[in-house]
Amino acid sequence: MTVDVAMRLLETTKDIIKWIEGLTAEGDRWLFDAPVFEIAFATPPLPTV
Amino acid sequence: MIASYKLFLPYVFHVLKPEELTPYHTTVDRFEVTLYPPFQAKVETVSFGGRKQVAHSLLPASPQVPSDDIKVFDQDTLEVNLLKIDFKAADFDRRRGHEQEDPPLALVFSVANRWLAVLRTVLQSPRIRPIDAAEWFWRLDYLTDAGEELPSSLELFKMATARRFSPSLNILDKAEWDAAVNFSLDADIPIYIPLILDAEATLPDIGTAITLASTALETLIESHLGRLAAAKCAPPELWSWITKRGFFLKEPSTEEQFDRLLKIFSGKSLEDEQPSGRHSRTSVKRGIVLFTEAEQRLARSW
Repeated sequence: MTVDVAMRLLETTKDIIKWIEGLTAEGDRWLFDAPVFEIAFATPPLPTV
Repeated sequence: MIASYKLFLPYVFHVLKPEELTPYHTTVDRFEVTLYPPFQAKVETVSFGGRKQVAHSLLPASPQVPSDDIKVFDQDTLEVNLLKIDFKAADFDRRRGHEQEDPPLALVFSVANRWLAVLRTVLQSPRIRPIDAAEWFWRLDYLTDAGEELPSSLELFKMATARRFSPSLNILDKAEWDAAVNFSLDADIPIYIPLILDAEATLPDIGTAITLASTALETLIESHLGRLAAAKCAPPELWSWITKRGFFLKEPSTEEQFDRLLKIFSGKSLEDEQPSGRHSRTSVKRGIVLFTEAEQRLARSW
């Protein structure tokens, strides 16, 4: 298994958690979509000499 | 030619009598690989292209100076934080204009992490963790077979570096702060939340991540079924009898909890739900299947 596949599996796990949380009382949700920010990094990835 | 990688470690080793440690030579793919005992890094902030860079100065410090901060058997130790790995081959692709690391970073960090896993096992130290190319500093120098610096060239590069570039930032704005305040200091955070966050944090350690995620699902379904049963199971003693049999093989499996018991107490099953939106029931059902397969593969590999 690769790290990419493991990451997708963790995302699916979060989907399962959200779905199960949705089955019980409203207002008791602990897992939600992380906020999305537009992020810019200042340095080029591979400075060379 | 030698491609000499220096990887900055996010933790330190304390080396006793460093002069007694010798490099380890092995072969990986087409490369003769030399893994050196870790060095004390010379970390300086230098300017490159008008920007501050740490990785540009990332070399073994000279001299390597033991310290009496931590003594072992009453002897000074050398605090080290730099992993040096040499890859020797007939030639490397160093052409400017489409700079790619050769050997590729994925191979370099795979070798580094396999070696760190061995050291972790030998030292029995949970603090030694795999490192991620995207999240840490590294430097690559191309050298002659004798380990000498190559001449500068307009066509070929002889050194490359990367600074810490972490997509895992903790960005806090008013909305998040207000949400935290709303949760309050007394928030009773269920155990599956730190488990799933820990699972993500342990990557690229896949085995630990999958195990933690699996445990998160087990605790999730147990706590939520318990709440559903408390409202709907009559008499209440029946639920205690089903779940506390004194021997785990008599108790409902995680699969049964997600399937039959969930259907009984919530009226919903992964089988009959229709897909809707991003977090569709199909993806949930598929997730359970993927998990079962992944755990079986991991169990075989262990």
